Amino acid sequence: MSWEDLKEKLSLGIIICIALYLLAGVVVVGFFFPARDQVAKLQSELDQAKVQETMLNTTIAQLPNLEAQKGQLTGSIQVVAEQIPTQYDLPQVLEFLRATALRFDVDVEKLSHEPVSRDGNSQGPWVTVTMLLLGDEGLLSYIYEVQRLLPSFHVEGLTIARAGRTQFGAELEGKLYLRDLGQDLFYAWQVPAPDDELGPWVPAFSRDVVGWPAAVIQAMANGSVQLVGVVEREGQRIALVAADGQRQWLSQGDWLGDAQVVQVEPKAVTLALGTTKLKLQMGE
Amino acid sequence: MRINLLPPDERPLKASAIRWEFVVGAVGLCLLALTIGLYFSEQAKVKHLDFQLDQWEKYQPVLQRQAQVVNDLRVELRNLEGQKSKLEGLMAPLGQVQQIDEALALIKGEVWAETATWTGNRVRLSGYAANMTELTSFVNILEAAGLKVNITAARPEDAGSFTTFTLEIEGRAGDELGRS
Repeated sequence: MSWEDLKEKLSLGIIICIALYLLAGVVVVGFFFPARDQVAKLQSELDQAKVQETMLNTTIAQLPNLEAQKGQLTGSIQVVAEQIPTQYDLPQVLEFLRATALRFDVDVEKLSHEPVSRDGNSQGPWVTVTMLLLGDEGLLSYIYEVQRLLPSFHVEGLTIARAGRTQFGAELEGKLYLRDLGQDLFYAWQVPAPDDELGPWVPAFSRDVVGWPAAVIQAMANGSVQLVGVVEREGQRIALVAADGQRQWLSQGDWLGDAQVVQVEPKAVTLALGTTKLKLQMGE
Repeated sequence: MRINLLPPDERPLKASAIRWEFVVGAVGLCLLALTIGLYFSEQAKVKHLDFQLDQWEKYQPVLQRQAQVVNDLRVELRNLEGQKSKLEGLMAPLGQVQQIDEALALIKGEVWAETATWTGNRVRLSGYAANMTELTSFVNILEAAGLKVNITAARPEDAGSFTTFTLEIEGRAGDELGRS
């Protein structure tokens, strides 16, 4: 078909038809497809935004729980921090140690501390505290109470020994860890109060098992105390005992220093240092 | 009888004849209308999505600020945990006086403690016994109670009138000093 034939067949109607189809094609290719692509792109962005929104909402939903956790944590930090003194509280700490000793009838013979120390590995500064204590059964209870109420006090050495007829002596050395002057500075150390409901811890040991120093007993056995004689008067035996160059008459129940006369026999006298018994024979 | 002398191509179409040009034109017009309709529909979607994204753009910073508050709170909680564990690390273990008490409470018979010392997680007990048998009984009692006993010194004194001793006593296996 030649151009002339085609020209002859092209009527206005056909031209309009062709124009309509071309226009439709142009609309599809030039407008519809880009618009559809844009919708797909925007939809994808919106989907991502929804995912992000869900994630953010999930995160935000944790806020009340986290705030509650913070409240609990702050509370527990406060409880712990208020039990640990700072270096500025040391005078009050020493006062607390003395005041608590009074509650347990313990005499504080010596109470000293070294300057504040710190090393790189340690969690906090500390002071080394040394105490010489004198008391009866309450001595260990006192030390336990100090540890309980002053929980950052690390006992490093503790020695107890008999210090008299009814008393014990204790030498106590420990490190009192102090709170760093950091974030928790605003919590003030609370001077601990005894728990009346809990009551003091009571040791189980009998005080008689802590005997007199072996050297004292050995000295007595080796002649520092001598039985000079025994007389019997009105049915009661009285012993003449020489101790450290001095002589004295003793009957059953009397005291020779820290030793009690528990039995007087015709040629012997038995002394008790606590539950340790020592028999002195005449002429030894 | 009427005879149509016009050639067939030039004769007018019958009223019932299908005008293909018209049909094709009508289809083309419909197609154009459809594509334009679809285009406007997509444009409406674009506008709607744009609006939604615009809303999201405005809403997102608010959510992000709130999420940032949560993240800051998490960091703060971690710091607080660290602060708490640091403070708890300052707490001392309890049990020293109980260990001394436990060792002394087990003393029976003619055995006396002279000094009881707690150091380095063990109790050093120095004292004297009426004789070696009493000391042996005491050591047996300690071991029966699950304590580990090391006799570092045991010596008869003064022609055998009594025996001095030093024991090192450790807690039961697995025992740990802990703040009760």
